[in-house]
Amino acid sequence: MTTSGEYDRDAILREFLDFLRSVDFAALPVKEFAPFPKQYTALETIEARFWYAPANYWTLPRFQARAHAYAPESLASRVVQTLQDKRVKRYAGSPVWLALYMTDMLGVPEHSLDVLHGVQVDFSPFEKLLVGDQRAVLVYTRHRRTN
Amino acid sequence: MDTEGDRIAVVRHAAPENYSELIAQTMYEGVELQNVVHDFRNDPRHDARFTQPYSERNAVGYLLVTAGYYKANLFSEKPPLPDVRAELADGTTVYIETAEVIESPSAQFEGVLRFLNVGIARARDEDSALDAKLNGHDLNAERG
Repeated sequence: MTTSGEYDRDAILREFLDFLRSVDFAALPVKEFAPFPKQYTALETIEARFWYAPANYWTLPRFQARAHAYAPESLASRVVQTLQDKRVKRYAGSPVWLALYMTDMLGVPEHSLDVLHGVQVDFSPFEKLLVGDQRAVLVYTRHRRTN
Repeated sequence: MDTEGDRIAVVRHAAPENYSELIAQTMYEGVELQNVVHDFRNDPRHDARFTQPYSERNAVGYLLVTAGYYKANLFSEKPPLPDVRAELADGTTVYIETAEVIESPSAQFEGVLRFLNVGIARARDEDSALDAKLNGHDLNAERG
């Protein structure tokens, strides 16, 4: 990261491509994670590691996420904030539902649903609110008061 | 009860076991999803992100199936209508506004990963020497 806390993605890409162009594959450890050589300072800054294996198929080198810590409450708060942003707008059509799709690659949305379940949520003007991902969904349904 | 005095019911649904099969039966503008051509923002060899309307229909379709609404027919709409019009299997039509929920540190991280992977794919496409060198080798990286 830079001193401002942002990733120097140009330097990371430049160094990774330089590594690919200069590396002697025969000298790399096989099927284990290893740090990049010290001269790649941008890669070292983000504690990047690589994994290598000979292959008889076409592959494209890729950067991926590593296991990490996270807080389910944080994504749940983000759901509530997004809900509030959507509630202040006005929509044509009827009935209107709201579908909030959790795609956080650093979190586990199902755990955030555990946090949300039981919390009182005001989702007017929507008739129905769906929150979740491809594994689990909370469905909030409004039953209109009749006088 | 909410602030308008209406009663609110909350139900949690887990995805059905045949989720993929049911997703494939969801329709986009009358065409079953399994037959829909993906709508990418850019050349998918470099950047596999979908267009916003396509992503919105995906998000709605995924949530509807997980919630038990099968074989919906989805249409993209423009404001002031919500993002998607859904014709449900029971014959009713609903309008669905949608949004992705993602934390900003995660969004920033995802953006960096996408930038790196697009850059790597482009470099391999444009540099025949690099392309030849990578043949027969599987190398991936991860950040801390």
